[in-house]
Amino acid sequence: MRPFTYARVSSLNEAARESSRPGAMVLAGGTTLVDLMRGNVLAPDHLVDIRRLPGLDGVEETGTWLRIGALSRMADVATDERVRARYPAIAESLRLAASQQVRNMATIGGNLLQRTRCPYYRDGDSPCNKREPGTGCSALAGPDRDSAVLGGSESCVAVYPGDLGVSLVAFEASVELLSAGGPKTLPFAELHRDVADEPERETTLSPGDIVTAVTIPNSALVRGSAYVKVADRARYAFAIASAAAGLTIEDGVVTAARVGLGGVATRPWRSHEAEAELVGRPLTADTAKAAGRAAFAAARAGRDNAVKITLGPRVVEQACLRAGQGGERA
Amino acid sequence: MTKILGTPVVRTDAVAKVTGQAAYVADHTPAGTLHAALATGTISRGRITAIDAGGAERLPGVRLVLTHRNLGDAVKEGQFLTPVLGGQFQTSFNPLGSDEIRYSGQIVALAVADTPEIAEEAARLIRVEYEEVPAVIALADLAPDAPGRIDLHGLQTGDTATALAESHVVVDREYATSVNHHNPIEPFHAAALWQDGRLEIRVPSQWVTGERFALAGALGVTEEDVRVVSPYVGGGFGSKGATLWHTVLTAEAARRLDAPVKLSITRRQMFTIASFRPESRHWVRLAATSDGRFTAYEHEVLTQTSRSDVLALPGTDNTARLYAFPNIHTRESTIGVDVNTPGFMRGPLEYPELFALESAVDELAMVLDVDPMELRLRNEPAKEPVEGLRYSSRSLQECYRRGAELFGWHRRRARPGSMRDSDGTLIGWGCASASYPVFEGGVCDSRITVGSDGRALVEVASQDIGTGTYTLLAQIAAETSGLALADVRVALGDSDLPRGLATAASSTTGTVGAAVHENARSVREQLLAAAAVRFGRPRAVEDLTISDGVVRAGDGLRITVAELVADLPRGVLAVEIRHTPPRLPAEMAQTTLRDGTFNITGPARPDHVAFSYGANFAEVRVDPVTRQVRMGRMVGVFAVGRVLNPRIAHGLLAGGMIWGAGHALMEKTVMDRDRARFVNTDLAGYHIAANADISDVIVETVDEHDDLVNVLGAKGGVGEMGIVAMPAAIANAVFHATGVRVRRLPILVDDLLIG
Amino acid sequence: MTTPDPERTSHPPLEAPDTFQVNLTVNGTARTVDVDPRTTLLTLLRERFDLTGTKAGCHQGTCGACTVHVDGRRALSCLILTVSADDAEIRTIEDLAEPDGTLHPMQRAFVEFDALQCGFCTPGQIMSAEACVREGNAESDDDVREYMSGNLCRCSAYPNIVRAVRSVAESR
Repeated sequence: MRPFTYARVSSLNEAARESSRPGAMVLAGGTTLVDLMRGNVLAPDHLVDIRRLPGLDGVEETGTWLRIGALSRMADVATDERVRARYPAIAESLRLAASQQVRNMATIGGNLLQRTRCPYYRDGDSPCNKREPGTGCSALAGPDRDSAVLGGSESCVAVYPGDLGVSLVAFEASVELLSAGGPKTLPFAELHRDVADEPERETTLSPGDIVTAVTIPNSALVRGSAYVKVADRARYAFAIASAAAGLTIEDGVVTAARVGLGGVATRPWRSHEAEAELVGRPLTADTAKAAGRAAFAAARAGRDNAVKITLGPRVVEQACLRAGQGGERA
Repeated sequence: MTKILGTPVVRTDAVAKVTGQAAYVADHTPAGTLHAALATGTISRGRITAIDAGGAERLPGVRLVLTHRNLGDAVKEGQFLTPVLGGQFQTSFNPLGSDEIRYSGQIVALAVADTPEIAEEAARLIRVEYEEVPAVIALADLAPDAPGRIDLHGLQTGDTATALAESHVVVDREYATSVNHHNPIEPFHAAALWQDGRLEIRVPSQWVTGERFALAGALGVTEEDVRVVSPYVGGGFGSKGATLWHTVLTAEAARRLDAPVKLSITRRQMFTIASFRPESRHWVRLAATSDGRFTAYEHEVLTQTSRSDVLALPGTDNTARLYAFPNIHTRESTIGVDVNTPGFMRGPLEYPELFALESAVDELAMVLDVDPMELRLRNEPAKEPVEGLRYSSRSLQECYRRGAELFGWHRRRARPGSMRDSDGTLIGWGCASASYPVFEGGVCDSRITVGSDGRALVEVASQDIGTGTYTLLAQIAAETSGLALADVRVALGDSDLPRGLATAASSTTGTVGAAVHENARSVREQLLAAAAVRFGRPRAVEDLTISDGVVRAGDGLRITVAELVADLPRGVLAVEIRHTPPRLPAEMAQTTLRDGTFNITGPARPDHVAFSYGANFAEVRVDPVTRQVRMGRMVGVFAVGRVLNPRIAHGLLAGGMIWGAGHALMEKTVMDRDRARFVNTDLAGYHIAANADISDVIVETVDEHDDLVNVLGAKGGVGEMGIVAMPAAIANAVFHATGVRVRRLPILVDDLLIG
Repeated sequence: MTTPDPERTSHPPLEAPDTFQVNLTVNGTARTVDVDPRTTLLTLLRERFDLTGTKAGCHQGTCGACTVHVDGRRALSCLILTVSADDAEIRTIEDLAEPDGTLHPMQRAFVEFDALQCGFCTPGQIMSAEACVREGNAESDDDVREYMSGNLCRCSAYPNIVRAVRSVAESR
């Protein structure tokens, strides 16, 4: 691990000041950052520890939204009765991520900014445009079973690995930020950038920006929502493909739908195509299948990751069917 | 006499392990210890053209950077471990022996510093430049008969060509298994300390005696000047049997610095600085008559080895003796690729070949429309088919009968895809036969010292890698000598103890156990003789019994062992023996003693063969939409001769079966074929089964008496039997659930979504 | 080809790392220690405090062997920088048994059900299991399988681990 300076901050202003220093990175739960520092993937000059910032943890609910403080622990949010009762896909996407120890440590804010698990990014020495811009993409030429089939470019096909982000993008969450100009709010869908030719820039955050909360609108869509995840190992594994889905059905016809995809795309991925396929039709095995197909109509496989295109639609299908039943537990 | 053997005694080291007091290698840090870290290379084949350690050396707190430039001739050569009279090293190729790079992730430097953090940073700062040449890693990139293919082994009985031509049905298929890494949770470590010219090195080891010879040779000192200490080993599975070069380098660093040096190795480095299970390809032809009698078995195997060493894993010695095959032809070969040398990993000779054969048997059963268990039972041999010898014992049929009963096999519907749960989940049931050769180790010493308190210490330089050696040897010593189990303590994992053997090939109970048995019998005789003298009737030894540390005569006289020993001249009874397995060739015994070589013999012996057997049953549950496979029940019934401790044996067998589930459904080291390197080199990318992957695991052993195998009647194989056939049983179950036959492990969801 | 430039980031020259004073409570005892900010809680416990019951398996948060309790919750000590654990209350395997050696019920259960083989992951398993029961995540075998999945056991003593944890949960 490269040497760094360390500052623990106790106010948001201090946090903003410290984290806008050159080479600064924010430390919250540490489950991504410490791992990547140890692996020589990230080498911040200055670490800004925000864990003690007051007022940034806890869940609040009103009739119209749920607000999760950025320093809330994943485990606490996953077991929050309000989240489980009225935001089931959020709870499930947290429960099915990592392990209880990691969920006890990792914060919601940090989880949203989790780095890719692309092995070439993580190995610390392979060419990787995300880690070292301009060196090339090893995954494009190598075994790429874990690579994205949606959103990739010639410069990077690294998958966004998170689970929670899949639910947040589906259910139109917003992110509250503290930035140099003061507090601001950003649709979660705009937090992550498309890869384009700058894979090293994953988010639209500016240096010094700190995520302070996530809010999710309370709606009938999220109340019966479901999250489905398929991985090579039953637990403690990243998704090959996952999907969050929520539906409203009136008189047997889907009136609105939300579908998010995980494990298959370079960023948290909302599938408007799948949603469009469902709206105006009854929810049946066939329409759920059609939604799955639509979600992956534009997907492009590399050498070894065709599985994401064969599995992904089925995961969407299952998520839609479960959402139709009101988000039955996996 | 108190019954100790055969009872489910609690592990003697259980309390130490649950309290965190069991001291593994890395838990011991003498004052003044310096910390070391490795730098590993990034190319797969070529040369180092420049190495700049200046940045590392200038870092405050850095004491030494070892590279090929400054290693000089301080470190000598090391010989590759082979199972018959080879050396002790995982590879003969010293990674710092020259500027040559032979595989990705090869050690290029070792940095030593005051703290672990500085050592890691120093390793990171070492700059290396390379001249790279193209490299090959995967068998798929080589033609099956590519130049350099080395024939290792083969069996030939009868005439398979004619039999194949004349047979009613023939299954002719190719199967494959992937690269796997042992991944013990305890990483490799080494902690070295020189005192007065003598090296004491702590290294997690499955073979402290071998490590001692290896280090003495490589460091240019005598065996007496090396002590290898390894009291607890946090899992080995074959990876810690042979000496790894970083152990030598750590010792050399400690010698140069005249200070204790402790090396930590990262999980990523563990994938390249040690051995692994090589990938294998199999071409099987299995033929039968219309009523399901096997007529021919052909099996060709190709595995990876490195360009440095030839690793032989002759697995068809095992498979060829599993059924009544009238005609047999096998050919096993290997080919060097640009990897570190692969090695032995739990069921190394058995799992890949059994996966191929037991899949083929299942395919044949489908063609014949015969129940796959019935097909196996129908081909029970009277004698082993290769040389026509008898089996020392064989209870495979009994295992199947009991296993089928436990599993409920009779409820199986034959047609694939025909069994479903109420929620639509596809259910598949499969079975496979486990077969594991009984191996015997070499010459083994043992010393038992009984004190005037009546307590005994058993000492042997063997190891407990989680397999229960501490407990089993205590049981053997207590029951055989007549002491109470609580009065027997066992010391292992120290090369200064009486010379022991490698913890390998599931042979410890049979061979080291036999040594301790012989030793304890001698103690018992001496105690009885002393008691007879004490009772004043020196010729009445046969009237005496000893148990629980008390000698009793027929007429009611009694005396405790403590009293007896207290009266001996020095107040102590110490007996040391050298056990030479009765069938060990004398020349092999001599060479082993002189050179510290590894050797095992078996399973073919002059007038019989010895194998352990088992019947495995697996249930898989497949999601009808996503095709995700989850394990249902696993049942394993095994015949391993006498079971000395069912609690420990059943745990080992269950653990092996779970390994089988992992190998069948997730474990795979991904190869980047263009860059010739392993890709998923951490525990998030290389999936070993987690708790949630496993459902009910049911293990039983059948009563089996085998007087031929060894004095204890313990056939062994317990540590490895569980894994060898379970992958085939699961692959067969996946076929039964889905109708998709997958002939390459692991079976991933990818395989079940095609088409 | 060369290895990547370790100094690739273009920021100010390296300064020798400051040490930081950290106050912790470890197994009920207040400790004050000066640490390199790079020192993980795992390294601190093992190399500075000689509490070697907590094991290092991967240093990447992928195996669970280093599980300890931080402020009463199970956490991975390999991913915690000691500086950021200032004022935290840490409990390790060494604190589980009574001072007189009486084993904690979870330790007893692991012995009784032979929920271990090599024993290396065992302290992490037990610390995790103790928390798992307190969390209420051990109410069924499937619960235990799920919520104990963050502790890999390469010997694969899982069925016996499930039995041990369930026996403790049921006796509460």
